[in-house]
Amino acid sequence: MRADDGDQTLLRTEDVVKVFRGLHALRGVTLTVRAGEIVGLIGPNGSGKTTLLNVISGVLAPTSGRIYVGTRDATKLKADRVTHLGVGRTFQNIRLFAHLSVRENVEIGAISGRNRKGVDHTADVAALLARFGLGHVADAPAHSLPYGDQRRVEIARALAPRPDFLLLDEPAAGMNENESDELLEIILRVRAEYGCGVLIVDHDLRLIMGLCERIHVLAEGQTLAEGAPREVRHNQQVIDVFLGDAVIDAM
Amino acid sequence: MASASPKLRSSRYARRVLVGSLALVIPLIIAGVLANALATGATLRLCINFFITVVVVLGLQMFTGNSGIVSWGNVAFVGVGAYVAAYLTVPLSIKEELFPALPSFVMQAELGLVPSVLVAIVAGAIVALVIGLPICRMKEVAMAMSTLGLLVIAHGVFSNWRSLTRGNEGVYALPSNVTIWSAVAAACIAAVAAVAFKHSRVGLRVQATREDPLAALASGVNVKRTRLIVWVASGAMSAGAGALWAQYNLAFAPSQFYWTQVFAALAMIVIGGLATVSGAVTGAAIITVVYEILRGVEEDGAFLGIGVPKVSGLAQMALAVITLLILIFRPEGLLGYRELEEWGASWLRRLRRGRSSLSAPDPSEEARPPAEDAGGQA
Amino acid sequence: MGSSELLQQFVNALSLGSTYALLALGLAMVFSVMGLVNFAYGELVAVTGYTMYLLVTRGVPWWIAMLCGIAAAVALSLLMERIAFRPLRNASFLTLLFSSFAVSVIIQNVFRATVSPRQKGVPSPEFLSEVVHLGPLTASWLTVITTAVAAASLATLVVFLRRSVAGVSMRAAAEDFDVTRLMGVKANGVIALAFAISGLLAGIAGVLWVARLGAVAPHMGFVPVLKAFIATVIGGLGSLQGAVFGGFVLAFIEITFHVILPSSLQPMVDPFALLIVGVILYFKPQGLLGGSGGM
Repeated sequence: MRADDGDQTLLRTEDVVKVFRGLHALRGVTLTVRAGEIVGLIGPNGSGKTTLLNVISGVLAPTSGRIYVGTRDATKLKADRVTHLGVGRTFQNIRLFAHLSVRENVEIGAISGRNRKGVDHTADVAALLARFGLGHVADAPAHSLPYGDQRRVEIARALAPRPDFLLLDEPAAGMNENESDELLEIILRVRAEYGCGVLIVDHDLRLIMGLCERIHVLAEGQTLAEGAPREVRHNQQVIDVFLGDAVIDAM
Repeated sequence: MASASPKLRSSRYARRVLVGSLALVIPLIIAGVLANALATGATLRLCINFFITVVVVLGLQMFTGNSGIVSWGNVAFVGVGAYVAAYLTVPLSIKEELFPALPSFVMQAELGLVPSVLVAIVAGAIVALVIGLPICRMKEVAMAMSTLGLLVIAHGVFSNWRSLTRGNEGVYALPSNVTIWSAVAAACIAAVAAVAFKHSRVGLRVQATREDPLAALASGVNVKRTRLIVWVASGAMSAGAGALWAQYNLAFAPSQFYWTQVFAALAMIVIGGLATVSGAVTGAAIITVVYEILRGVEEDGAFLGIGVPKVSGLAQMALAVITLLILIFRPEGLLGYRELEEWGASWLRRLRRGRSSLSAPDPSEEARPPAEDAGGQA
Repeated sequence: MGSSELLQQFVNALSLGSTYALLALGLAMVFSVMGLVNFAYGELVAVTGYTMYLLVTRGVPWWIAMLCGIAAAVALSLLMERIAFRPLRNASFLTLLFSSFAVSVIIQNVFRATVSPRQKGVPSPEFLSEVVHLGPLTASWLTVITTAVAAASLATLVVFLRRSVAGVSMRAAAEDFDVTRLMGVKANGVIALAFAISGLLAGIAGVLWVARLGAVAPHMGFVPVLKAFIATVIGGLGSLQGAVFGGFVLAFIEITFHVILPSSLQPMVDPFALLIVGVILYFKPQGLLGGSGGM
């Protein structure tokens, strides 16, 4: 992948604050994801991880602060426009188009993203389906798939417009070890083939430690620590916030 | 891996639209032929009205079925189309009496069926655009509520703007321009249009907004604009249906574009399965037939030789009970989320698989059966 | 317009608003625990009227007929829930909506068939139409009682929802449908309670409505449910406070148009009011009090 050349390939939040009716979900978070980089976002429940993803992806507007996708200021953009800038995402509770087929789910990602005008996406969609092992269920309604497959459909859909950045919200939720190993493989492959930067939120610390080059720790809406997995693992504040060695052992 | 090189979307699309259209057009034409050959008098009237109803219902299905947002207002557009048809087709001498306020170029116009329907379609599109611009920016429930307001406001306008509509006295003297064949043709054209829309890129995006508006937005779909597009298309088709209807029934009043008709239209799409075009047509057929039978029972006071109390409103009540029962047992409607051709293909596959136990698993079958009470969130 | 007339209209709006608030609250009650906009709610008002008609015309004292009417509304509400809506509990919004529409049509036709397709007069106690003077204001006893009864009912309901166990679990369910689902078997009780309260409110409103109208007709439930629906949307669907607030807002809008429109345009009061509602929704799609939230 290209080297980090200036602002071209950064996803960046600057001092993002989000207040909900008196509740300070985010208190000024600055976070950067470079193209081709995999960054993990971890923290205890309620620390603001999903809120941050929602703000970055345009689902929520920040109370203050800015969001940049490359050189473009995405702060005031709604989710569809943010997607057009090259940011894809998945959701904590899988949000598929339940009664549409798997193929149609991915197709919607392809025809609505930034390469949407006039292009025939059939080949791309077919390739994605094959890539994710979904070819054999392409015409089945999305709701009829087992949970793990549904996750993959969601990721495939997010990748369909070839985004520069992929935001994954707890993709390993409900998965056992084998499944999360597979997920790890998928994400690494995605990064290798598509060159996107990945921001992944999850509680599965084994996955996060194995996957991410950098980890960003949030607690109570603020950045607690940031750095390589090794550094973060030994950070006393992080250990305290995660309540105990048992958790750290898992890392 | 996918087989060879996947066909282009345009050719897949063409094939889907062709199959879907034929699945509807062929039965419609057959019904038309049978009606023409066998039906006379009141029965023939019923059949022709059925084909016109199909157009009305498809207008509703295009919007509500694809977007998942209930619209009470489709009947208001039918009314718009009817009044436009009246302005354009009523003979000049009578028109001057009925609508003294019309501008002269409209007053002078005396159009035939097709031009008047086309103008009605354009008028419907314009009205829909004007109304749609504000309401499509609202959230789903607010938007549905606005269509309720639209219905009541439209009825108020139809009933009170006497110089344009003659208020509650209604309109008459429309020329009888509609034959069984024009009705069948209109139903077929509407069916093709609805199918073509549903499978198009826009149609797919609208369906995404129905399934999960947030996920659609996050996938890059401009939810508001997509809804506006389908709203305008639906209004246009409904107005066309109204123009057609007016030139068959020859007289109407504002009460024909209000709650009774809304109930009937909604019943038709909900029973068949609102997500599918064939569901709407099927629902229309079922309700038309059932209602006719019930009306006959109510009038004759007998059902299959058994005496039935002569009760006013029996037909309506029985119809409501039947629709309720169908919904309790199949909340997603009779066809659910699959078009007729998809059901047909599924049964064919099952038959074939039954004969050969060694055949490969079927790609379109559900990967696992859906849960028992999958009432499904539209 | 003089200030005393202004005040008079203000009082009228308060009275109308309190009826609308009662109606809206009954509708919102069911919506907030089940996500169902119950179009058959209007028939609860109608059944109150019809019960009173049947009893009063047979010589039963008015106040007994009134209580029976309210009881009938509660009973019908519970019946509806058990037979038509429980089997459909997990169905889509549109299916539920349409089912309630179907139930409404069925009940209307039952009235048509068992009583009469035509309007029937319901005599009310004479004192209700007598007029009371409060300073510069005149109001009929009916108006005064309507406002008082509505206010008392609302206050009682608030206390119930805040203090009683049943009330609190209802509020919890109202906050979040998923809570209701998670409650499993208990959800039946909570939902039944919501329907019962809904019926009670409809019954009380129905008594006041029939006293004002003086008659019953098969389709009489249509106007109450429409007003209730509009009021809840103005206030914010899913919000019980919003329903009450919306009822008053709607009444004020209607009275305003009633006053400013010339007599030739009087039939347009409702359409104009709806236009204003549309404008409100455009700027505040969540309703004036916005979003979900119990009392």
